Amino acid sequence: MENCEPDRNHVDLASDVGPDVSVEERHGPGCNRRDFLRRLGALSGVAAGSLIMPALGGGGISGDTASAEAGARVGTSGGVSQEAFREKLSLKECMFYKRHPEAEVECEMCPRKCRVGDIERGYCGVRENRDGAYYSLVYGLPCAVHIDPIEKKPLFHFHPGTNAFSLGTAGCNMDCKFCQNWEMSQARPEQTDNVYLPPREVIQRAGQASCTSVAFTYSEPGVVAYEYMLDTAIAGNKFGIKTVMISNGYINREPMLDSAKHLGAVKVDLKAFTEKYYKELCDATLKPVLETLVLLKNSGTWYEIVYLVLPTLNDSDSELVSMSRWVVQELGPDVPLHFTRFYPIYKMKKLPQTPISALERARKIAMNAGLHYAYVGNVPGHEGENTYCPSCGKIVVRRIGYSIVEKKLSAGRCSYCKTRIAGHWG
Amino acid sequence: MGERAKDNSSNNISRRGFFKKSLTLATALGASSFIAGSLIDSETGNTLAAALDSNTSGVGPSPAPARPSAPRDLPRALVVLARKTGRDDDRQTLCRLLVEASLRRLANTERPEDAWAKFFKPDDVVAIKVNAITGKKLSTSLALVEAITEGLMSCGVRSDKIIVWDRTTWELDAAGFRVNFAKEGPLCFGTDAPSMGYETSPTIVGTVGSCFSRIITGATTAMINVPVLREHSVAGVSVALKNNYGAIHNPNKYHADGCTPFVADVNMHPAIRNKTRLVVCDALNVQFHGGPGYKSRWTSGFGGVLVSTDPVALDAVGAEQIDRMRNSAGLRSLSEERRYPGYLSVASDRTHALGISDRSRIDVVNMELA
Repeated sequence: MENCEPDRNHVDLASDVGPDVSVEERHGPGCNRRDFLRRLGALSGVAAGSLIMPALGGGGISGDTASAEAGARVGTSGGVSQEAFREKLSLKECMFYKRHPEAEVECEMCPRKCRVGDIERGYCGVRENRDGAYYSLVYGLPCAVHIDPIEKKPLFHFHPGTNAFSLGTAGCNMDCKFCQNWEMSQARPEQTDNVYLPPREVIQRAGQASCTSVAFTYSEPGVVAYEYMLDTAIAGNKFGIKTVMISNGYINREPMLDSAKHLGAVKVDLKAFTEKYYKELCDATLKPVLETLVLLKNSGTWYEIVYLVLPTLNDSDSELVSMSRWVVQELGPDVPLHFTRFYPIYKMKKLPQTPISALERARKIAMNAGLHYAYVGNVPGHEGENTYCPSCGKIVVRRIGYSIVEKKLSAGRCSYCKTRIAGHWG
Repeated sequence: MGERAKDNSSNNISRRGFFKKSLTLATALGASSFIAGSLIDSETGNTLAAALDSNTSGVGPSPAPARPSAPRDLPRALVVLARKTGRDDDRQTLCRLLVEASLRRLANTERPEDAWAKFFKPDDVVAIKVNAITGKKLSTSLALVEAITEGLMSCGVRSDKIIVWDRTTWELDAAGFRVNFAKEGPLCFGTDAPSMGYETSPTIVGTVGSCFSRIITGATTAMINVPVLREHSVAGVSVALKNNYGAIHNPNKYHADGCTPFVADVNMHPAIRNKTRLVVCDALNVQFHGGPGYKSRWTSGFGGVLVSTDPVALDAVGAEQIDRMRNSAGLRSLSEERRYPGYLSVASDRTHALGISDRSRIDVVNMELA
């Protein structure tokens, strides 16, 4: 679960479905075209306000509660009915699983390796065993869709100043106590209000909105909705629209390798540098995340790291030094590392927000360890948001929040000293 | 009534001894209640805690408990196991007979309506938690739920104050329940129904952090847990305690380590702990292997119900019944497969005090209705 990009804003989407959408493909014979269009019309009406639809109680994390609640009603009134959702809309056989006797399956998507009995779901809550076959329940079914600056992911070295068509589905393979988007990530797909947006339509909408990338983000769709992301990436590449995976990095080697071939970039949350933290706060383990980072480095895929700093829990000098040294040694000095600010939420409402001084200290430790691009995140206007040339020290990209206010780069090189700045500058 | 009390399955007591014991138990139950609020005006959930096991053994499936003789001064639990033999009745008649007989035995009353009145008041709002996850194949029997709603109404509970529920409306529908949002009861819908949903913030209960169903955290004053008796590949068994996973929004997060201690922790939520007054377990058909998905080859027509005010004791007895069927089918026991539910001992420890898991302190009344 991405921990630094709360899903708070809303964006209009076109209300028409587009000419190339097959009703039969979506609904099968049980739903006629008129019903489908009626449902979609209801959906579109809501889309005009927002497509974030946290349904755990109808409130949600959006600042715009009225819009969020309007969205939340979609699933139970004019929108995609629960039964239709379950039975017709979203069955896509999973990749990377093994069948076992007695209709059991073993998921091989992430290090959990869930062994799942018939009619049960994996830990993520969105992959279900049906009679010995394993299905994704969120293929083409995001519950949040927005257009965000790519900087919000955050990806600072990947086509800065562009927009990413961003979507998230229900489900996550971790349970971080500080999750900013827990209403989505910790929900099952029948608890969120979803819209049907198959891969080609995602690309179509992204193109209409002049987005140069599609981001699978907010929750953990890159892992739990892997098939959706992969098909979208393949479809997008035909039109020059890159897919980026915003992820906790808790994924097995094979699926990561396969998807990396098609992805434009990956952002990985390195939540801490101790197994204890991962176990106690995320219900996961650190080692596979480090392995994913090394794999990304070797694959040549562009990637950046976010480290959400939680006061007293992962911000000791020793941990930050160890982590920074590991990054430099194993990944090299050019990987951007974002130290982002924590805000109290979910199961950690009593922990104070991260002091800015802690972020600055972390950034300094990383720079001292040899990293070229260390950032302070979630503190708009902070000088640590800027990209500095590692050679001459001048600002090559000046940012305020998610906005680029100045860019001194030419063909990916510092305009002052011509040093190459790592990244995809477009 | 054509019923007879068979000998106690564990202790071989005489008929006279049984009646003497059941009277004592009923008195003890009324005084201390295994579930807080399980009998009317009882607020004793905590009083029992001090007297319960101190067995807090940790995470993971544990072997089945041994059966040393229990000290006489410790509280005991009562589980009524009623079965019908002989000629076939229709489902409704069968379920009515089973429920009435077991309730009268549990409450030690002559008339079934008096038994119901020992557990429920006319102004109660009662949520009946069924298990509808396997469609019509092995979900809670509609006839059993009808018998329960009739019993509730017999003691004055209004039909529109009865809610038959599970996590989703469509699952109830698929299991054959008549979904009913109308004012005329009994009502029947899932947590996903309009105006219901889950609590907006997670409640932390031990190791569990979940949003609980508003059906039970809201206006409901009492709950009847009506699970199905079935084996569960991860949890060992899925009976009363596990059935309450249907009350949380994220059950998928709590299947590690044989669901231990998570199942016990979910049941610690005040709405579940304080409102559950009765467990009526559907054992008409029992799945003893391959669960929770329905597998016909491992399903047995048992024709009975298990009834108790103690969900932990009922689960322990349920596990025992499942093991008997497994044994008959040539399968290894849950303990031998290291799948005996470890959450039962956790549920009965001092912290949880949800009931009694020590089999030597559980009295089983076997009733075979002719």
